[in-house]
Order: sequence, then C-alpha cells, then structure tokens
Amino acid sequence: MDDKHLSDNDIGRLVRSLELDIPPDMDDRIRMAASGLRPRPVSGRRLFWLLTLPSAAAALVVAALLFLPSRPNPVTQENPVISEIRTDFEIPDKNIRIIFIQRPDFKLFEED
Amino acid sequence: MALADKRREREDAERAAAFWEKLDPSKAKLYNFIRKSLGFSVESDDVYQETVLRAFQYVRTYQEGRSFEAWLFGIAHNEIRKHFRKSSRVPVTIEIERWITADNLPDRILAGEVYRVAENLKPRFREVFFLFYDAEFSIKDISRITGLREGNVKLILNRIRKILKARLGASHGR
Repeated sequence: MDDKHLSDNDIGRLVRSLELDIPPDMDDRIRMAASGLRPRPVSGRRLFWLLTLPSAAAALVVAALLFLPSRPNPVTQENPVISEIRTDFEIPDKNIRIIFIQRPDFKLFEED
Repeated sequence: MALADKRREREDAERAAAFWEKLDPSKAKLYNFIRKSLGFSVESDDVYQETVLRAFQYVRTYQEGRSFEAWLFGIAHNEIRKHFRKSSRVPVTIEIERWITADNLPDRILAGEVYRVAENLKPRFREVFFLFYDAEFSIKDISRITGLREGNVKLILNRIRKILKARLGASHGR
C-alpha cells in the first residue's frame, strides 16, 4: 500500500482493523437497568410543548408590553419653553462685563 | 382500568422486545464508535450503557422508515458531548497495536499511526472521523447525527486526510 496516497477505503480498513468486543456482562447489566424503565410517551411531551409554547410566548409579549416605558404622545407633548436668554459682553480694557437677561414679559395684572 | 394497564404493559413489552432486536446488529459498531471517540477512556462503558438506556427510554421518538442506526448514533453523539462537558479530558495511553487485527506488520504499524492521529484530533473532529471511517456512515447521515452541515463534514474529513497524509508520509520517510 502506498501510504502517501491512502484512499478512503485504505483508511477505513486500517481503522476497522481494531475492533473491540463488548464486555460479556454488559448486555445483562443494561437489560437489568432497562427493566426498571418504561419507554417515555412522546405524544404527551409534544402536547405539553404545543400547549406551553404559545402560552409562554403570549406571556412574554404581555410582560414586555407592561414593562416597556410608555412613550409620550408627540402631539400632546408640550414644547420646551425658553425661560431666559443671557447675553454676556466683556470689555477687557475697562474690566467691564455687561449681562443682558431677556425674560418673557411678566404678568402685569392679576387678571391677565 | 386493569385491562388498560395490562394492555399498556403488553405494548411496552412488545416495544422493548422490538428495540432489543433492532439494537442487536448495531451494538458492536456503537460500542466501538463510543470507545474510539472517547479515546479509549475507561468511562466509555458507562457512556455506552447510558446511550442504550436513553435510546430505550426514548424509542418512541424513532420514526419508522428512517435509519435506526443514524438515530441511535445521534443519541450516542449527545452522550459523548455530555461526557466531554462534564469531565476533563484525560489522555489515555494504550498500546493500540496490541488490539489491531491487521494481517501484516506494515498495516499494523500504519493503523497504529492512524489511531495516533485520531487521538490528537479535537473531540468533534474525532467523532466525524470515526463515524465516517469506522461506522461507515455517509456524509448525509453524519450531518444528521452530529448536526453539522454537510459542507462542514466534508471540510473536516478533508482536513483529516491532509493531516494523515502529512503524518504518514513523514513517519515513513517518503
């Protein structure tokens, strides 16, 4: 056999040339352990998941809706109000600083 | 009620008998696959036992008409993964050549080299290697058993072939 060009058949043959026997008492041990077991029904499990999954998904959606922060309605939300505008002037040579503060007109009269 | 219980018991007994009958021709192949995939670890027997018991318990998930062996090896694949997750990998040093039944000495040495290469593969790659070369599954079946894409199975096998070529070529001075 040219080992440089081992074909899949060659590798397979070499791999399968090592074959281990199952220990003689293994079968009995397994059958004894299996005698205490019953094949599990599948239909029940499937039914369980069929019922559980949609309910779980619905519960998740409800929980997400409950815990999401409510977004303010863009129509009813009040616009931010500018309460004052400050304008600063500085005359460096004279060491003078002039501050203009513009505020909305205050109400003159109570009834206004 | 008693009648229903008796009927269920009879059905279980029939199902169990059918299971053992189906398992019989695949047992040796399964046992070898598990032992080789686990690097001949002493825990291989436990993993084999667990695989068979799990298959017995979940025999109802097997769909008639599909390959029983592929279904069984799929369970073995899960058990092997579980084994690697829970236990640290302790390399086992064994005299592989002692067990090889190849007729002539050169083949025996070559087989030993192949096993040494397999021993150093990552567990996932080693499984693919033995599923293909030892259990003789098709790439499609290996993909079903391991959950890997067929393209990835081919890629893994090609990489192993390259490693084998390099290793065997070098060790035999050709």
